[in-house]
Amino acid sequence: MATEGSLGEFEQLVLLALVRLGDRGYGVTIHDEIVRRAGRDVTVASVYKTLERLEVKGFAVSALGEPTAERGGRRKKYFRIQPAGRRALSHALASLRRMADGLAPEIDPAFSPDPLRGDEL
Amino acid sequence: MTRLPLVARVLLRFTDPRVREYLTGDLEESLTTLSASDGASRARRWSVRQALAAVAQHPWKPVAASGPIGDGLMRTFLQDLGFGVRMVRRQPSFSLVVIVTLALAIGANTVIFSFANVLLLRPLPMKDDRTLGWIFNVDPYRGGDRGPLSIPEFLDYRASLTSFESIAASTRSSVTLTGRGDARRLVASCVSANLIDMWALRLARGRSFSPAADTPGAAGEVVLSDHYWRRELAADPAVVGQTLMLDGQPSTVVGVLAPDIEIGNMSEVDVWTPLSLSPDAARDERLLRVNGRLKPGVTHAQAGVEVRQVAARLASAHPKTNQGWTARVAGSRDARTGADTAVIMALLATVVSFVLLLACANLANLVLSRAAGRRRELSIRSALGASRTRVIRQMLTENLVYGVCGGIAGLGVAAAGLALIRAAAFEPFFAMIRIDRNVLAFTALLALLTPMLFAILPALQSTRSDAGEGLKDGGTRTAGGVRAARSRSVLIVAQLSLAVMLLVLATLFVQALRNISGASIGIDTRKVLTARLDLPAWRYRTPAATADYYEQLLARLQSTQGLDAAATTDRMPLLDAEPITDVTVEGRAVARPEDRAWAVKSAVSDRYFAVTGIALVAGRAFSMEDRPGRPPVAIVNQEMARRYWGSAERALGARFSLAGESLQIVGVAADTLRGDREGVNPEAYLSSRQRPAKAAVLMIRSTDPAGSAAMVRAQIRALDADVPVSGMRPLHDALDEDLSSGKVLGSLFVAFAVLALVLAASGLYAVVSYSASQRVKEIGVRVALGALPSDITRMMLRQTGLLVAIGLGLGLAGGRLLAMGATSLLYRVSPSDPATYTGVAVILGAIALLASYVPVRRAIAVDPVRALRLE
Repeated sequence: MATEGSLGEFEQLVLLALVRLGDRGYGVTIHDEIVRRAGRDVTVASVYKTLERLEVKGFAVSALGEPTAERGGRRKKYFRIQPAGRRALSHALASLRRMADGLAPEIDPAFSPDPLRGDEL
Repeated sequence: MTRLPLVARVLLRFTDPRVREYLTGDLEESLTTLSASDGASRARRWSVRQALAAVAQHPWKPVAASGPIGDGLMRTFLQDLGFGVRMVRRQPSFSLVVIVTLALAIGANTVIFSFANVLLLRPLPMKDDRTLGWIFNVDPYRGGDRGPLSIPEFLDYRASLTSFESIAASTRSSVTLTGRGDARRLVASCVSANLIDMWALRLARGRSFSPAADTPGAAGEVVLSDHYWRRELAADPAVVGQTLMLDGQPSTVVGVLAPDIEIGNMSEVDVWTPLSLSPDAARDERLLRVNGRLKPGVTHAQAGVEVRQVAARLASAHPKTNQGWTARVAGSRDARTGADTAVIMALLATVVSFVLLLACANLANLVLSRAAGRRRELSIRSALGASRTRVIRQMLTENLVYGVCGGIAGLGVAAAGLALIRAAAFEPFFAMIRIDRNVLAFTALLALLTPMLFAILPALQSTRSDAGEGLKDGGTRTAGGVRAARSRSVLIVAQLSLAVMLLVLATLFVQALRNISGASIGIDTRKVLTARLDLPAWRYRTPAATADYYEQLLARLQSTQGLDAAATTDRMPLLDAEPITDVTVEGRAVARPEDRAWAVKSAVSDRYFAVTGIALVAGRAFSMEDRPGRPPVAIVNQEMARRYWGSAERALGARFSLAGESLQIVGVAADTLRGDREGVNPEAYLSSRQRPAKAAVLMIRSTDPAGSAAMVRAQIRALDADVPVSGMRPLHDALDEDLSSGKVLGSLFVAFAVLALVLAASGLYAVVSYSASQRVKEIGVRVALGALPSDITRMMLRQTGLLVAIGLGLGLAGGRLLAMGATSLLYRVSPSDPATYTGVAVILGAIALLASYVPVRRAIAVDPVRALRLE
């Protein structure tokens, strides 16, 4: 089903979050970014599941952080996007845009005349 | 920092250790921020949901995590469990058989345990029932050792006993409530004033009786039961202080009991009223159940010694009423469960444990056959280095999955069975049976233990052979081997003998039940309608008024179209208590106290014998002549005539005295069975016209007793609407209801026996067909060499025949032993009834032969050429 390099929808969201977060990406921040921006009620566990997969594909890389008191003395696991990940992401977004190009406004929210929706984006 | 909720922490323990640390840290961090923004409880719910998702998405996979980390007990257990679950799902039909078998066996055991739970484990509603002692009279006439006491006896014991802190009495009675719509009869528990406090029963409202409430002439008080207060008084919060008219007397409601006491037959009690403890009451009118609170440190045995001393004193002080009587003290449990109850429970327990053993034997067989098919797998396991204990442990854990499934299904079976029993039995005892914590624990224990029972033998068996043997492809030829064959033989013999034992017992029971319900009791029950009447005392003040009422009522009923005859008696035959009264037979010497003459008396109206169909063998029935003021007369039954005068002819015209009154015998009636249907009491019938009583049992003869109830009711109402009528039903139904507990128990035995038979037959069938299928090749060779099918059949049947014979022999002997234990329950059936034993042997032998013949037949039918090629 998925050819090499292709990205699932949730993978795209996670990678986008990683791009936004730069070197501050770990479980909590990635989860919060997706909940806040995409308005999706996802679980931390599913975020980790996707991160694991992205790491296997070589799209992301992880590093252990320092233990902090607010986490009950547990360490963080930071994730950063890799060049291959950026390529796959822009490829996916480009294909999405090409597919949506010129379609009626009701499909693509970017063309939406709805002022509220427009503002938010 | 906010700590994660316990549930979440526990859940996270089961996540993949590789993500556990970060994930837990993330959740804890988010929880802190979320509690600040969304509130603590929402945050906690969120974290539990997150933890659930974590377990679902990153489960801890012990197998995947395996490495050189040692053989953790818990991990291998989970591993085996997982393997077990997969095995269960891979062979659905095998699993279904196992689970259904287990469910039936565990269900049967759960039902019987829930009986025992009520009798032995569940706390009684009275406080500290261990320190209560029940004082029973021991009856010199019938040897009963649970006799009630009379009021003067109770007062004597209360005055002289020192080993009790206090003693109290109670008796079941009924009162008539008037002034609130139709007159109603209420079930009353008449108690001494101290009983409620001595039992420390909780009162929902008000107080218990005042200390002097049980003295004669005290102002009327009444304590309501919870159900009566709720149902009839709409839980009126201001009920305390109100007045109810009970038996025409104003009685003040002083309290309402909490519902705790309403278990068993206590749940029938509507109201609690004080006894009237008059020392002048008849000393031989024994109606009181007496129990007392023992002083600290006093045992039941010590109290028993004192009670016997008092009884001896009473016997010498009141020889007329107490000679020969003694008394004893029993604990609460003992007092509640009759002697027969213990026998029944022991039998039921034996029977259901047999059913469980049978089921285990069957399953052991199944598992054994399956283990033979798994020899290669097991051999590979041991070749790869699995120790024998490790393989055995794995097999036990696998079967644990079956145990748990069977246990859960068994609970369902038990719940359904109990619902059925409750629907069929009238005894309030059965309404108390519930699946509570004790029962659940018992079922869980069975679910965990039975797999051990049925899996251990096959596990030991199949792991014994050495690894090389099973790896060879031809391993199936020797499958099972001599040892497996031997353990199968043991199982067959055990199964058959258990089934025979149960079948013997069940057959004897069915015969006993048939005897007891078909016993000719001497009364024509099918055509008699009965009802209880109780004349309100404030309207019928004199005996003449009472007699007049009944005279009129009977005359009305007599002339009603569709009713053949009507009569009254003061005692419902077979169902009411049988008051034993001393009689003095004129001209008969009494040498020893146990030789004194006694009789059960009842006061009946003229047509009683015509209504009940009791024949008069000599003399006449009562008539208009036998009025008050005329010479008192009596009719005795044949038993009484034979005992005290030698024959009916000699009794006729003779005299005896009863309670100081001399009576002349004018008739001799045929015998009727007494309440336990074991024999016939000497009975004295007196004329109700000469001793009218307000309460009476109405008996009406009609071809359609149930259909004429409305007619009878209308006549009673037309005569006086204030007379309460209760319990109107055909005598036959009333007697049937009385036997319903016995029928339920009998059907339980039969159900268990049939279950055992099915288990044994299917077990035998499975074993024989397995061994036949193992020998298909051998049979093929024999047929090819010219053996006739009949030769082979004979050869194979000879082997199982021997096992069947041994099983039958052992079973019949064991059944004889069981039946001996059950002798007291076997009504008019000999525990060694030859027809029963022969019948069971023939039936079981036939079933066993059939179960072995069918698979043998199938094996022979296989084409020898195909059989020889089979490899």
